[in-house]
Amino acid sequence: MNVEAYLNGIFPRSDFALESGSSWLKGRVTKDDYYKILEKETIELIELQHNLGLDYVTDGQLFWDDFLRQIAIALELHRENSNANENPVTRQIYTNTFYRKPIILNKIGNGKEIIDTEFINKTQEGKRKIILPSPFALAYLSDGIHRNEDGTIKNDIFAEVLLNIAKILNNEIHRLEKESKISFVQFNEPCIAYADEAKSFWSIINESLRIATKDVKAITSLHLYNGDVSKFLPELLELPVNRIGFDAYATNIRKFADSKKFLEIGIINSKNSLIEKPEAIVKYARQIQDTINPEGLALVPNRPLELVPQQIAIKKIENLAKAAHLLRD
Amino acid sequence: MTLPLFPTQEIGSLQKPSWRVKGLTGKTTQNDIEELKKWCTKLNLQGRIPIVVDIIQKIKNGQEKDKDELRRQLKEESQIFALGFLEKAGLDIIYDGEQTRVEMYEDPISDVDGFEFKGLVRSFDVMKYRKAACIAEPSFKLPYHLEEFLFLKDKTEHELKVPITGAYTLAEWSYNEFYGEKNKDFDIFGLFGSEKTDRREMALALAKNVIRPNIAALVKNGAKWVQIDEPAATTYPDEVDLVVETFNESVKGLDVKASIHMCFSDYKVFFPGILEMKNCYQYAWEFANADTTNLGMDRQKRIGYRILDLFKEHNVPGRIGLGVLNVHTDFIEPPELVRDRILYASKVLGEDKIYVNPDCGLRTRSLEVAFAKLQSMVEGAKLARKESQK
Repeated sequence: MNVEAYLNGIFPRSDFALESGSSWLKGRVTKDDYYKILEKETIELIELQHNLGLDYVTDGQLFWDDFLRQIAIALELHRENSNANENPVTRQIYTNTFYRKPIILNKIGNGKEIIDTEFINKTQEGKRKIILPSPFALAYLSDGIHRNEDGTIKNDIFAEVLLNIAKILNNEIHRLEKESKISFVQFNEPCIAYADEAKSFWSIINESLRIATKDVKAITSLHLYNGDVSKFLPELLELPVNRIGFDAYATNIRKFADSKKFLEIGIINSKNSLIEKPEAIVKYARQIQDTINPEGLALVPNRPLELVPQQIAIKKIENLAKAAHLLRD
Repeated sequence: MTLPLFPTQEIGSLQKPSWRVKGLTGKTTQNDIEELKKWCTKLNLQGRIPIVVDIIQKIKNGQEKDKDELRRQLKEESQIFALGFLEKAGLDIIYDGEQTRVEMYEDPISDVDGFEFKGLVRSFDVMKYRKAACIAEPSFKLPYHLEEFLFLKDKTEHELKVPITGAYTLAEWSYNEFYGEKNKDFDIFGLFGSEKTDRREMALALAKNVIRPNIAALVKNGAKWVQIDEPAATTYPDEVDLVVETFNESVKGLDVKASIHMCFSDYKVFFPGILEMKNCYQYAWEFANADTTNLGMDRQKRIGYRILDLFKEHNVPGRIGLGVLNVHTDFIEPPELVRDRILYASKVLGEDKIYVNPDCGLRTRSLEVAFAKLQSMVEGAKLARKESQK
């Protein structure tokens, strides 16, 4: 059975890097020194993924202070006379991590580079994977012109913003395909699972992904977390991406039986310190194969691994890789 | 001490002064001593300067066997400093800025049986905390905030409000290597929904076995008001019932004024579940973080305070602890901005419902910034009182 394995979001910084970040904040080390540590850890993480034989390799997004930040900075999604690093601190639902809420004040400008390709370009061609927020996630987690005073969504403007974001992401993906020869684009989607509005916006969500993936040659996936996404079946499997991913701890997998789709199943729990044993992962994969029988299967973390300390995250992906090898053998 | 209209209160942590941080390891520099002198003079605590300098010198030069006691004394000096800091800023309800605590999660978990630390994780930007796993049923080891409270209780005329991290937050911020794990048996279909069940067991065990005995010990020794800190309260919108249940379990049968502090949350999810909280005296929430800095009392200017509508609509019986200072920026809110935030809230809820505080603890701000912000808050409350009495 060919089962793929790879990472799918921000990887944790080491204890040393986190301490250095605090020292930088307190003025005890320079930003350059702090960034050198992040650079070193990024290179080490890329090597680790290659050495473990993961099918696709990311840069771990160690420089990202949250999963929307680089985009908010690049697209200047903030209040007047401010910057994206000063946007309101807001909880990422289901976690004790926070993001700075982007503020969309007018039509988002195009033509700006979002992703720094320095480290992506250091990974092996054919394995290069980048991760972006889904258009819906970015629009939904932002404040601004598409929301009423009480925080509810202005339907028509929200749709416009969503499609506008999709176009910008599409341009960025084409740039990355051309300049960095990326092979895999994953959209992280933490909101659809719990957003009350997701069902009523389904056709727009679909359209936004169609725009974002238009003429993209790389593999595309949408990884959903923060709730049970089986409630969106069967429409979920018809979204215009090659692969659909979800959290095995939050989603009723049985409902995906006989899916004619490549599934990414989140069985490495990024919310717990327990290290999954390779034999357990193998058994999980075989259960899926026997009962769900998807068109293709990848084993992944249930959500970005940034929620566990780095040394634990490394052990988790080592076991994930071992399990993938066992399954191939 | 009689409280005025719109009483001002601190919410939790203050930055620890450099002489305290470095003093504990014997690494103070002349700059740290100058800092000590500057602040003690400003706070009318000149008498503490030679005492602190003496302790610092003894830690630097003394023998290892004496250092634990000296470190304890230095932490107490830091408590006196923080009390003086908050008194001088003019607050009505105070504590010690959590000067003896490492941090709001690591500190209590270190004193609870059943947990093991695993390493650092990031909370946001470059902020981090040390995270532990539950490896056995949580149980009471010692009343971990009692010593600091006993030290403080006779040192001020002001009302003391003791912050204690709540059971739900301790559970949610911990990994689980104990509850339910033995039953999973490599069955992928058994994973679905298991985390929620396991977290419920852990949170209720913490409330009954750890938080309630801790609050009971404080109450027995004279504490009148405890603030249960639940920043994780809205992490899972469908677990508000568990937050409520752990609050009720934590204070069950205890004769104490109990309030709750929550921050950086989507408060909408709390309605109507919040109505099930028993005798919650005050809900201290963060608002300024999402507000504009423009003066005025119209809804667009006070956009960060729109959730107050729900508080009113549901006729929540408790008071609101109104966050008027954004703790994540160095911007010093002018008193007039604080005034407008208070008056806006007063217009929505009624003036007797409003206590005034920073959004959250101020430990990420320098002492200079924190002091200026708090002074401005106090001045803003005065302006609001004046305006309200017209």
